[in-house]
Amino acid sequence: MRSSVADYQVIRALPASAAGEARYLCQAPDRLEQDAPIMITELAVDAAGWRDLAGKLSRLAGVRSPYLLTLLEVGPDLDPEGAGVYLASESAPGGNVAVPTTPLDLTDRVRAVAQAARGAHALHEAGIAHGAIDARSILLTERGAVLAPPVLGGPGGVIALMHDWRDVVALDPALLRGESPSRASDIWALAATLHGVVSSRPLYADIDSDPGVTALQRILFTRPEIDPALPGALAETLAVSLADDPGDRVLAADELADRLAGVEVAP
Amino acid sequence: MIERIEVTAGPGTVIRYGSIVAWADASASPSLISFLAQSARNLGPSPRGGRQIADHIAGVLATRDPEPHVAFAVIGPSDHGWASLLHGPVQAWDGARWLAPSPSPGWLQAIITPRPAVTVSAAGVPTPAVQPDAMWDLESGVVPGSGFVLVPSGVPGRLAVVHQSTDDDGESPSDQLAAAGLPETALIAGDLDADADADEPATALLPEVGAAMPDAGAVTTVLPVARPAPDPEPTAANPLVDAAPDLEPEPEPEPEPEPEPTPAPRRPVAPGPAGSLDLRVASSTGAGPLPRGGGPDPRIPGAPVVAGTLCSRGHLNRPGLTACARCRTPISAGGREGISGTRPPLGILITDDGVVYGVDRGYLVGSNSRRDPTVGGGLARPLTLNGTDVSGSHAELRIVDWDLTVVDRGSTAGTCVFDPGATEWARLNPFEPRVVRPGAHLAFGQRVVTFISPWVTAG
Repeated sequence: MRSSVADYQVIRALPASAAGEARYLCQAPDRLEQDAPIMITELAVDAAGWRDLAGKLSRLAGVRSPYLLTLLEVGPDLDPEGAGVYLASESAPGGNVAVPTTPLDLTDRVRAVAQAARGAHALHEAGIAHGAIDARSILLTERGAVLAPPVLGGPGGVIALMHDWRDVVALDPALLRGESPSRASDIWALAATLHGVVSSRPLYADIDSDPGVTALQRILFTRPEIDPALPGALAETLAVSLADDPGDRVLAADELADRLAGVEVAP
Repeated sequence: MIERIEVTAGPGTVIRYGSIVAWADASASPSLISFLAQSARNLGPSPRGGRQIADHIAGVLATRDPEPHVAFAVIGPSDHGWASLLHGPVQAWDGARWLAPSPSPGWLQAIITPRPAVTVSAAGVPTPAVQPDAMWDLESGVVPGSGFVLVPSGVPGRLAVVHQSTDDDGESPSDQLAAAGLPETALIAGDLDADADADEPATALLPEVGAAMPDAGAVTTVLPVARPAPDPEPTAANPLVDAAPDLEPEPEPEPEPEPEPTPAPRRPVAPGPAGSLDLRVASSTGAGPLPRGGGPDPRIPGAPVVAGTLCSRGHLNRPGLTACARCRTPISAGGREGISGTRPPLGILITDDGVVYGVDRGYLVGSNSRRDPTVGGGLARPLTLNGTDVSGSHAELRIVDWDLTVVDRGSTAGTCVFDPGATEWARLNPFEPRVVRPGAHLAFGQRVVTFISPWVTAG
């Protein structure tokens, strides 16, 4: 494990990000005036991609919302062990919704997705689509659940990084048709994520035994099946967020959050 | 990489660490000086430090420019010459032409070919002559100075002997090249381009000024291009220098009231590591909200148009489909055919290591396709596959109407296709396009990419 990243002192390694990027819990240097440990994420970006990355991060950081991960600093990581660029942000001591450090009950999980939906809405209102919302991108900070920034590295045209079906099961089929992320595709992803954290059944029947390419085809050509055991109001909210046509879905992520706030989910 | 750095006496600050040299004028804030010095210190040892520092500063400037009226410059080595970034009212003379941001305030990134030196100073200031035998040399550190002269060593193509012309008869560098029997096109080697990526291959391919050309005779040929810089006045060959005011003065515009100063979200923090960007001071771009809901497909100006069939909700589909690929509503036979509209994306490509690419435009597949002119010209995006048997530019994936086609580029290991239902791989003939069916696998050497598309028709 690295002992430092730039002038940040590594305290310990954290689970990797949704895109497999290495993360560390670090002590921030004095110049950042941060008492609490912060999180460093390594981003694999070369010099050519640096300009795009700086622009993307600045746009993201310019969106103010309590439901978005607070971004502190980005800079080149000249250490040969590094991936090229480091991103400093507030830490998420609770882990993420997919792998929380302490178990979450059903109410906590629904609330976390609702808070992420409010973060997504803030991005949408600022003209930004996330494009990669899943349970691992909903981080549990001391302030509550927040939405992490989307995958930032990688070449142009990349939609997702897939190692098994869990990496793509929350994707709107529109993205698998090659369409660009949108407000509607983020709403789909929030709903698919919610289904994944409140039900033991996958959203697509038998997908858990699919190889990667078959999983993509299943998502593209079949309809999701909402777990009939879920509470009625929750199932109804999911159904209206997972409609084929974006015009039939809830029209804004904060509307989804409002609906979830009113859902009774008995533990 | 640097033979010496000669500091010009006067106000301002000159910084050198390793092979990176920076200059800022006297109005630069201490934090800017500190930022430049720290960046140069950290990137100075890198053989590509010039490119790295210029890219980084450009990235910062793309989001905010805290000191737009300050003149500063950084120069350092890159893979294909000397990378530079010039900001504000600054000028650089490379021995043949002026470089300056235009308009000013503004900034410019360029690859410079020293002929044989580069001088940097504030805009409009007479540039000192290059003294080949001068003893002044800043080896490392931060010192006062109104500019500098960078004399590189080991520059590709630079001759061992360079004479300085002391005449000032207006003879252009082109004339001098002609007198030396060298083609004027050699001058192109130093042409600047705001997009350094696009510039680099061209710079690398063209001969450097002063190189021993095939017909230039013995290697003792001397190219007297090191000459005092002309006054930085606008000329046809010197378009980057700010234009002087017209001789006939424009009527004085009514003075506009000063805008109300808005407090900048300044934070009293020290600069971060070289090249870092403080995201806490980022501000909203003011972009409008994303559209809500769905609706019929809009026609996007300039995007490719194809013929298709509309579903009842206004989604354009490939002819022959019986249900909309997007909203799944049935499409009645013969209903609303012959419609044209903006072509939707064709699907996705997934590589054998799990990278999913959208097919909304063509790709050039290869282990080093980023350098190919097809990519540089914007005709395709690079789809990089690493592998010993994947050629640099291995194959093209082109979109033709509703189809994806693959064309092998004469690769060493070849390109093969495994269609749905096939029993074996089929090898493509080089440069012979072939339609890729949805669900087909493509092998580029030993690397495999799969095409998945919703536009599957019965045929």
